[in-house]
Amino acid sequence: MNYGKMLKQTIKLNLDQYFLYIFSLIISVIFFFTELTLYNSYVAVIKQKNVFVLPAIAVFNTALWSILTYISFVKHRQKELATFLALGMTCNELKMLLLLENILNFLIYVPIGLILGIIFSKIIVLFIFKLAGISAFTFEFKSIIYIITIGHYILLTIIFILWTSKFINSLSLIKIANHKNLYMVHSKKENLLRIAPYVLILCCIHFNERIALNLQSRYYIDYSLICIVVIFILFLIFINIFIVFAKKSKNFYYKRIFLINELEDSLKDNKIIIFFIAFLNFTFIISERICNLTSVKTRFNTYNIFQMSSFNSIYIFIVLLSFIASSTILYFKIKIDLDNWQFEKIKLYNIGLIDKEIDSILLCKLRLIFFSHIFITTLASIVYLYICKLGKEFMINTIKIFICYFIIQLLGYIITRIKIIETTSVFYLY
Amino acid sequence: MEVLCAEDIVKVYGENLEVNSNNVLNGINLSIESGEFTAIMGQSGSGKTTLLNILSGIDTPNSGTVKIINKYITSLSKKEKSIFRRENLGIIFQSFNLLDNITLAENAALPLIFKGISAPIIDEKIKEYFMFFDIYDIRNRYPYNVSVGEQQRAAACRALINDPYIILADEPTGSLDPNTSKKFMKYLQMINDAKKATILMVTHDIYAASYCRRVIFIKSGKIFVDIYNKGDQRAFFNRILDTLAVISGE
Repeated sequence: MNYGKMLKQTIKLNLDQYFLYIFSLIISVIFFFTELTLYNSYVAVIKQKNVFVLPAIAVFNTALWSILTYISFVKHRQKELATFLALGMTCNELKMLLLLENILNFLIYVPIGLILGIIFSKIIVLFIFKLAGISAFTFEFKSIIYIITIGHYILLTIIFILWTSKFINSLSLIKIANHKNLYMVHSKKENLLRIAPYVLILCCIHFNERIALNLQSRYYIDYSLICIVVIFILFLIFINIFIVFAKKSKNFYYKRIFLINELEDSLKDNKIIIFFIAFLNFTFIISERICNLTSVKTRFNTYNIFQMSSFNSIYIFIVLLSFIASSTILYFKIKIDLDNWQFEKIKLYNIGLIDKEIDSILLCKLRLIFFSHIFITTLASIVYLYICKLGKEFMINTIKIFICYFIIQLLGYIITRIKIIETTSVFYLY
Repeated sequence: MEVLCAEDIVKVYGENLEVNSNNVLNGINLSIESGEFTAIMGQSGSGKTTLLNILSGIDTPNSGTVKIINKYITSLSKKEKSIFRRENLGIIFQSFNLLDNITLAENAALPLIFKGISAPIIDEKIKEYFMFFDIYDIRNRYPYNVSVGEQQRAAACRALINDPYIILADEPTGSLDPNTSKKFMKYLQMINDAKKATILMVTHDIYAASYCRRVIFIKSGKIFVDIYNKGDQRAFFNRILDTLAVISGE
C-alpha cells in the first residue's frame, strides 16, 4: 500500500477540519512555550524554584486542549476510518496510516508553534511588560525550554497514537453499516480509567501548590479543592434532578423537549471538559494567595500603571493567557463537533423546525459549554471566600481576575456564536 | 376534493432555465385527490425524489406552482414552509429522520408537540398509532436500539399522528427486507382504507407500488403515463412491470 498517497488523500478529504486541528495545536505550542518562558524568567527573579503551579497548569492546559481536540478530530472521521476497514484495509495498516499522519502533524505544528512562540514571548517581554512598567523581567532563551516543549509534544503524540490504536480496535463496522448510534458505551471501570490520568495531574497541581506554601496556609489549598469538587457535583445533581422532574411533568417537557434533551446530551458529552476548565480557572482566580509568600512580598513592592505589584501583573497576564486558552479549547472543540450538528440541523429542518428554533437548540448547547464553568467557578469562589474569610485586598484581586475571566469567556461565546451560526446557516436539503 | 395540485414544475440544477431534457423536472403537472393512494415511479435520476421534495416544500422549483389544500406553498417563505409542513403534511423519509436523543414515542409525538396539544391527548394518540403499527411495547426505546423496520414504523406514526392532509413518503420500503416491506405496505393500505388518508409515495419497488390505486411514471423529468389499479393486485403488478419495460426501452 502506498501510504504517502493515502495520507495525501485523507488530508484532502478532511481539509477544513485538518486545518482547524493543526491551527489549534500551533496555538497550543505557542501558549505552552510562552508560559514556560515567562515562568523561567519569573523563577530567575524570585529565586524560589518550588512554585510549580504555572508550569503544571501550562502542561495540564495544553495536554487537555490537545487531547480533546485530537479525540474530536478522530471521532469526526470514524465513518471514513470504518470505510477503510470495510474496504479491506487491515487494522495495522490503518494504525500505520494514522501514525504517519501524527508524525507529519508533529513536524508541521511544533516548528511553526516554536517560531511563533519565540516571537510572541519577545513581544510580551520587550514591549507589553516594558509599556506596563514592569522592568524586573528579562527575556532569556534557554535550551531546556525548547527541550521541554518538544518533549511535551512528543509525549502527547505518543498518547495520540496509543489512543488511536485503541480507538481503531473498538470501531464497530456493523454499527456503522447499520447507521446505528456510533457513541461507544463505556463501563464504569472504563470511565474511571478514562478520567484517572486527569485526576492524577490535578492531584499533582494540588500537591505542588501545597508545597509552595507554608504549613499554616496549606489548608487554603485543601479548601479550594473541596469547594470546586463539591460545587461541581452539586451542579450535576441539580441539573439531573431538573431533567428528571422536567420529564415527569409532561406538559412542561413537551414544550421544551429539544432544549431539555440538548441540555442532557451536552452535559453528558462535555462534563469532563467543563469540570477541568472550571477547575483550572478557579485555581487561577483564587491563586492570588501565592503573592502572600514572604519572598514575593519583599521583592515586588514597586507599583506600576496597573496599581499592582509586578508579580501580580505578570501573574494576571499568565492567567489571562490561560483564560484565552480555555476559551479557544472550547471554540475548536465545538468547531470540530459541528460537522455532526449539520446532519442534525438538516433532520430538524426536514421535520418542520424553523431556523429560529434550530438556532435556539444550538445556542442552548453553546451556553451550557461556555457558561456552566463560569457558574461553577463563581459559586466555588464565593463559597471559598466565605469559608476562608480572606482579606479585602484578596477579595478585590479575586474580583478583578474574575471580571477578566468573565469578559474573555463572553467574548469567546460571542465569537463562537457568530462563527457557528454563520457557518450553519449555509445549508439546505439532504 | 383536490388535495394537491402541481402545475408546470421545472427544476434545473445550474443556470439554464429553458425546458429541455437535461432539466431534472421538465414542466410537471400533477393532481392528487383526497383519499388517493398514489405511487411515483421512474428510473434512477428521473426526478422522483426532487419532485417529492418540491411538493413537500423542502426544495424550491425554478418555475411552476404547488398548491396544497388551497395554499400555494411555492410562494411561502422558508419559515412559513416549515410551519406549513409540520402542521399539514406527514412525511416519511427514506432515512427515517428520527432524532437519536429522544424515544420513539417522543419522535412520533413531535407534530402534536409543535401544535401545542396537551400531554394526555398526545399519550392517547401515541397509544392508538403505536398499537396500530404494533410497536407500543418499544415506545420508550431510542431509535438506535430498535430494528430498521421498527424505526420505519415509528417514522410512519410520526407522519400520521397529526392527521395530515397528505402523507408524502420517499422510498418508504427502501431500507426494508421483503417481508417487512410487505407488512409496512399493508399498514399503509389499512391507513388509507380506514382513515381515508391521502398518500403519495416515491418508490422503486414494484411490489410496494402494486398496493397503490394509481401509479405515475416519470421519464426525463416529465410524466410519462399514469395507470390505475382496478382491484386485482396481481394484474396491476404485471401492468407496472410492463410499463417499466416500455420506459426503459426493452
